[in-house]
Amino acid sequence: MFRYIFLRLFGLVLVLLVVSFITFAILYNVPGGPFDQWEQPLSAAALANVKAKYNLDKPFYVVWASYISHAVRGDFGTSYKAENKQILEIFQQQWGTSLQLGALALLWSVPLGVTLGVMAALRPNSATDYLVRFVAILGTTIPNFAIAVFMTFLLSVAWKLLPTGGWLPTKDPRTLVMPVFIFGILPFGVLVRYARNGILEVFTQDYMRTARAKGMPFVRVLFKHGLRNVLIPLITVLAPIIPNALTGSAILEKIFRINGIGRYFIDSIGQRDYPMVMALVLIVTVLWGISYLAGDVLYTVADPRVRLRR
Amino acid sequence: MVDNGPILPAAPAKAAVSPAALAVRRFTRNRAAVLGLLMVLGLALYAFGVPLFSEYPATNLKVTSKLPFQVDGYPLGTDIAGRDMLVYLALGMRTSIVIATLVQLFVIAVSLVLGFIAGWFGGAVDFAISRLAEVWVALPGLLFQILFIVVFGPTVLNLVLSIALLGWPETTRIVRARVLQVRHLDYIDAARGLGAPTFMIAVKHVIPNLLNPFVIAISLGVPSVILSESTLSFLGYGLSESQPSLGKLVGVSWQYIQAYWHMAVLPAAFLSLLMLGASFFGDGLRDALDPQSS
Repeated sequence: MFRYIFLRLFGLVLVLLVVSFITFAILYNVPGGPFDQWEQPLSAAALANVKAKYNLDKPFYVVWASYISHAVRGDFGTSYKAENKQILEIFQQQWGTSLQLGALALLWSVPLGVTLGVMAALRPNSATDYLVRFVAILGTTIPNFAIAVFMTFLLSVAWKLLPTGGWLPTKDPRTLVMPVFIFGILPFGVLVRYARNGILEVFTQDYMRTARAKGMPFVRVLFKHGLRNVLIPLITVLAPIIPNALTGSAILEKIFRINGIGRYFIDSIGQRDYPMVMALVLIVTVLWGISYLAGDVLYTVADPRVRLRR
Repeated sequence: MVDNGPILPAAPAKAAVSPAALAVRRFTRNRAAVLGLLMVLGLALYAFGVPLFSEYPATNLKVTSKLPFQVDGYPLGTDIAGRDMLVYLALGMRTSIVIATLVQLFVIAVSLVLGFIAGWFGGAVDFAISRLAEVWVALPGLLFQILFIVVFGPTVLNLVLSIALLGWPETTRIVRARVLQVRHLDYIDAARGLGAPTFMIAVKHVIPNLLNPFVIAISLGVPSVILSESTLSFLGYGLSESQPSLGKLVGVSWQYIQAYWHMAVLPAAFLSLLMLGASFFGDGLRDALDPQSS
């Protein structure tokens, strides 16, 4: 088990090297660069100086090697655009908000999605079932920003219940309602679907009938034999949902004027802020890798027949 | 010679039902699927029909920033530049539909060719294509889409390419897997033994065999292509200023939502309807072509 985890973490390091290498290769070889200026171009000498300062005059694999050797020591460099700001400093300022948003969204959507999915499956084709599935389909099909438009129009513009934007957890908690709700609606829909299908399938199994026939109370059958078997598909869908939620949403952060890392990521690609882009790509890759590893380890907890070996 | 008539008795009179007819029957009995098809057809008719009967791009600066039903002749109102929303939304929808179609055509072409080559020839080619597809999926998609647009410019072709670049691995895998399954069927071996060129075998014998899973994958992919396009446009990395798209209309109209809510709400509503229709249709098509799946 520990050997397995160690090997997987080692594999993750290799993946990080490959992903960072490819990203570097692409960033540094596409036409144009971060210091191109169309309006008032720098003189050739000045541009060469700026490029030398940021190592942009060297081949990309040299820059990549030096970046990696700094990064393992915790130095991710300085941003090209936010003058003289350490990447880590920017992260500390921006990521906290995105973490709050993602964590709060998961906090309501995961438990509620599983619970309502199970309830829908227990009474298939009932009014509850149709309602829950309808909301889940809307949540997984309609784009986040469209939902945001509808909700802002109704709740902020027409009924004036909620503010149109901002992120003030302590001063004005009403600002959190819409972003947290909308960010959670997609995971909610996905979990409803998987929990419902899982329970429906498990209830066709012989051991469920046997457990009921020997007089086991329904609730116990549901939790001990039913839910336990639905855990595996739920872990599978949660593995990508969690890192996704924790790295922010460019769209919702733009709409609700939240200073988060998702919005920053999009802006730094547009501005060719390579150190910022690289740091974000690495963080996202690490989170994904760890999340999938955690999922695989949790499989063995949920189902003892699963063995991790390679 | 006298014709002695058939030696075998005539085939039973009951007409056999073809698999295609069965699929059509399953589709038309699925209410959500038919609704989805009608939604997509209706929206497409609107998107391509309405601009034919209007004087767009003439903007009417006498009638600017009007809400729906505020002035006669502008049932959906006008935007702040005086554009008739009824027409402007149709143009935006047309962009979304055209781009989604082009992306899927591109994905169809690329994944048929790559998937067939990988599955048919195997060996090093297969290894290269399969590993490339695996690594591709692990790369951060939005980063490369935005970078692509920033570097090469916001044209229709570049937008199509940047979205299609993310779509090909999955369908290529489906094609490859199916080619591997049918590669050594007797009649395909026979065709090869008779000396049929590989291209002919691919078109006449292999591709018909993988049509069902392929059509399902392509149609289920449509909503996510529309979502990709509208998200990029919403974030400001879509088409250039002169070409409206539903996502971009929402993005640029967001700031006016207090006074001119219709400028953001209407494109968002049309986009949602298009997504719902496409997704109902895709699900229905899957259930019709592959009844075991649900």
